[in-house]
Amino acid sequence: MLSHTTPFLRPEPLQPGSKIAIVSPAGIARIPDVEVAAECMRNQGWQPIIMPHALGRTGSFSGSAAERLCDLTEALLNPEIKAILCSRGGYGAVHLLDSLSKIDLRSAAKYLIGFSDISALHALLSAAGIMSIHGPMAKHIAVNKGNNPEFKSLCSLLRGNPMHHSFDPHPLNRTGSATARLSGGNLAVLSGLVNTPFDALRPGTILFIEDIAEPIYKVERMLWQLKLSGVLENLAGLITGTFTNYQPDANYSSMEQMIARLTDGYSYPRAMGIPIGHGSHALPLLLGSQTTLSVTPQGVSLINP
Amino acid sequence: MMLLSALLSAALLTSAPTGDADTIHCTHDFTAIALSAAPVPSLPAPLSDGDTLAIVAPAGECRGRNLSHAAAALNHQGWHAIEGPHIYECQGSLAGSVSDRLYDLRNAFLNPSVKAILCARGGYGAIHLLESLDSLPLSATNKWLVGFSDISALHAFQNSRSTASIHGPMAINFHHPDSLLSPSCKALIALLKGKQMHYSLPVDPLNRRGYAVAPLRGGNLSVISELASTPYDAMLPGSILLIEDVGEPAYKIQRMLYRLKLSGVLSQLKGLIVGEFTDAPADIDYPSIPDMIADLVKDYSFPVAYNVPIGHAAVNLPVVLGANASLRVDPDTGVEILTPLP
Repeated sequence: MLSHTTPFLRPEPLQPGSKIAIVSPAGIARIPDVEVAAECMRNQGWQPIIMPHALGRTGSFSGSAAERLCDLTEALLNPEIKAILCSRGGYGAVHLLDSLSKIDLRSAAKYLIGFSDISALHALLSAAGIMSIHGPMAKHIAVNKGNNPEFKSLCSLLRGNPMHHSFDPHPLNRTGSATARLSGGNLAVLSGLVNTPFDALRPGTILFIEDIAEPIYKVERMLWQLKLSGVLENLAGLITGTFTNYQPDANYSSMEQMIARLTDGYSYPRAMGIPIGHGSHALPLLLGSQTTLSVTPQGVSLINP
Repeated sequence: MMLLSALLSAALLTSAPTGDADTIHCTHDFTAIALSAAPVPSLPAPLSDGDTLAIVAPAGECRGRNLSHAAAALNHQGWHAIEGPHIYECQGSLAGSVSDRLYDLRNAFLNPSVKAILCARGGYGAIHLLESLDSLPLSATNKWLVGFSDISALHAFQNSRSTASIHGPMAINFHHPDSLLSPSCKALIALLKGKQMHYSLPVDPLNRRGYAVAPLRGGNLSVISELASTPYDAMLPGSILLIEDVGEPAYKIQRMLYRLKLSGVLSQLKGLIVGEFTDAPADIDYPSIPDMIADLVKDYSFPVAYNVPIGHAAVNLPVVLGANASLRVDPDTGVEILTPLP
């Protein structure tokens, strides 16, 4: 397992004419979303390649595990493909990890873009020491035909520009500054990889977490796992994104209140209510990059120079 | 009657009997026989006449729950049931603050006259207590602890310090008088008396044949999955793993078992007991959760028993975790589980 100080491989920036594969590693893609996203890519001067099984359906998945593996293996290995855009999340990326871990991911390393269930693929790339982009997928890119902050920010990152985000302060933030490797994503998906070779919830990192449709007590239980294993105490920083589709319960009025209570005993910077996650906000995060998180009473900045 | 004798003979060959056997339940759906066996020194001591049991609530709140049936049923056995002082406290959905719940559990462990601890109910919250229980000496925690569901976190704690515990019905599951006591509760009483339980279950088409003797571990899959990578990880290679859950869709169960697969533990199990997976929404990818599990374990060869009546259903057969058990799966005669074994 790579230590939190090992520098990660940064994929080459996209050039005019670069090929971008569009894949569906988990759920069933919405064809109009993929077509609009492909058009947005063309408008940027890139060449979208919709992979053979990206628009299929098998039960609740876009295809059998073999079909999804075929598309993703080709996209990851082919040196002509310079980036991989996942069409959506859902559930099922985990089926592919064992096989994908056996291929050479580093020689033709490229940006993989997505979030939610795609956090499983970010975990795979993290285990291989490769940066990846927690960011918008086809349906988010398609909003307003690409004329949205998520897509503009993604294009900037893909062209090799630095990542620089600023966010409003939140009453439960804890001030401080840290520079460390940025990691994380969907907490339920990443919890499902603890104690495996793809465990991305590591001490010494700046951890970003988001989730959807998980009750407060279940998210609390996932964080207790990190507490009991010593990870929660030894983070360099914590960023909580959006937690959607849940109800206040008898113990807590909000997810943020629960997370704050659980992490109050520590001293690293804590930025809460960051608008990244499910819903319409999918500003890209460069996972695996050395990032500076700065939390002040005036607000939050997240910079990878 | 012939079947019973045959079962008894088979059981007697594998246990160290001192004589009698009590039939707790015997119908086509399952058979539960309590066997007298020589005491196993590494297990908590069986209860004797006059012994005290403490009823505690480490997780969900118990206001408005009738726990008196449990006390009455236990007293009827010649024991003395006491309730922890905080069991009716309430903090949100929890049976009191962490310190309330810890107080009752620590007291029950530290009180030398308390010989067993019966949890009132599950819910959520037992995990809050684990680290604070670490400081208790082994001699204090070497007594029977009983429960299931969220209490699986406490089983993981006990088993992590080499102490066996009973996955079985809790105080809210008891009825009184004795005539209303369920087979599961009767089997629990037998285990607390130091008996060995022999369960015989019918054939299930998904079962995979085989025989294993190994430490029995596990419980509620969601709860024990969250203990992976902690000092209380119960999902260990070389064990017979018991799993059950409630209200979880097939894909979430699959995700938890994929974790077990990717960590290398699934391939190293000696056996798998698939208990009840209740209240699962319908799934378009698999006809049932057992079907999904069978697909996931198809490359391995250890015995697997499906639809075993353990978990959040009308029947919840108690078993001893953290001690050896035997699992025999036969395509013609069905499943036999012996618990505990030396």
